[in-house]
Amino acid sequence: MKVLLKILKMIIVMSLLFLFHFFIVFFLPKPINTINIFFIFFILFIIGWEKSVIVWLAWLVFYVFELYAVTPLGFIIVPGVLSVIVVYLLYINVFTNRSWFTGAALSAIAILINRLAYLALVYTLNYSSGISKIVLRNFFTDLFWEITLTSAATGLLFFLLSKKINRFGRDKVQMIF
Amino acid sequence: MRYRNIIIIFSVVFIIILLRHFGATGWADRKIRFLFNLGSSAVYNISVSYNGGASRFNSVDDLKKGYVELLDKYNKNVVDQTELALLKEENAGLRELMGFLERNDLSFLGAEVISKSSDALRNTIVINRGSKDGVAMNMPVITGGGFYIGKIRKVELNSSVVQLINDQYSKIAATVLNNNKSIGVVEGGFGLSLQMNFIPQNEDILVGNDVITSGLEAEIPYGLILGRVDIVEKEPYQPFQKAILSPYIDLNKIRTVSVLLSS
Repeated sequence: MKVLLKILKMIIVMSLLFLFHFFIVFFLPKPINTINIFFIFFILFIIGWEKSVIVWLAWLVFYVFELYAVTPLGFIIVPGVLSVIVVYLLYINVFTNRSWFTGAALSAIAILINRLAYLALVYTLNYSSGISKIVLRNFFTDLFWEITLTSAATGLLFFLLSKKINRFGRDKVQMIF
Repeated sequence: MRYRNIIIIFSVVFIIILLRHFGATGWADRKIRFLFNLGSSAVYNISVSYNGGASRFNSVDDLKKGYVELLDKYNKNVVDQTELALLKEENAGLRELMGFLERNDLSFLGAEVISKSSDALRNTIVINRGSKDGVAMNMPVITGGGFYIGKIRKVELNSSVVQLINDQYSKIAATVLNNNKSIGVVEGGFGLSLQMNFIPQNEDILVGNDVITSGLEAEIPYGLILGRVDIVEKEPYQPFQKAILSPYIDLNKIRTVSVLLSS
């Protein structure tokens, strides 16, 4: 019963995240609509709960995006899952403190890995014939705004949550072996 | 997280990719798409209504200028409509005289746009029609009665993904409505504009010329409007000239489209 409730809670959270994502992408003007709510959630979950189940949640999110992509299978899901695994390992082994700049840095690293891994897949598997300079320039411009705004939002949210919620408090540190 | 767990995660990812490739996850995909489409279509429709289909004006002077331009276009349109009606009548008469058959075997399927692209490098939209409605790969998609906006690039049971004309992989055979009826290839991937390449150097292209589909591709009929010439790039000693086009339709604010089922 407890497991079922946990699964139900996670489904509700993911649904709300998707709705929030649609709102940001469709309603807000450029460049604010480049904020990536999913990576904000992933980083806050990693810092707050320190559980590796976030990788499976990320897998589910990127699987849904893969359903609507015209790129070959795996171009969305592999970079996405890879980026979350890397930042989780970074948090556990490198960024052991809990502060707003850790959240911001992890967010920036995750998005950078995700987008660059996607670009690497496109070029490595020779899917790149026809990518014009304008498309690449727009890609990197959007990437800059996505990293800047998302990491700023993550840092700000973590700072506010650390003041109110014990889980994000600075003095609560768990060593994971 | 141990290395074993990382290997397990990536193994699961690759197994799911393989299963999807062979269509084994179809039933789960349909359920997920159904739920996703409900949310995205509701929010997308509200956002298009909120952001409006009309242009925004920064000042009263801009509004007045826009109004005067529109009035000029309307008056010109009235004259063109009259000439067109006369030409149609003459054409019908000539065809009857020559014994030609009428070619009007186009059928349309209306669809709503429920989402935009989820891919950073692509320009695609998702519509709420799929294989169960008769949609198939590479079918052309139009809006506003005759403006070509893209073609179907992915078909599922209840939804399809449309590659827009400003997508980097979009290439269409086109004709300029000038005296020479110049042909070329209209390509996307240039931001909001389109680029028409391989136009013969010796043919005259003017700013303001309309560009339509040439009908040289199997699935795309002749006469669908692509855009208007904004800039002509002609370099001496080059075999071809280029034109930069702007589409008539704002590709970020499309709500309803039609899929051409047969041509």
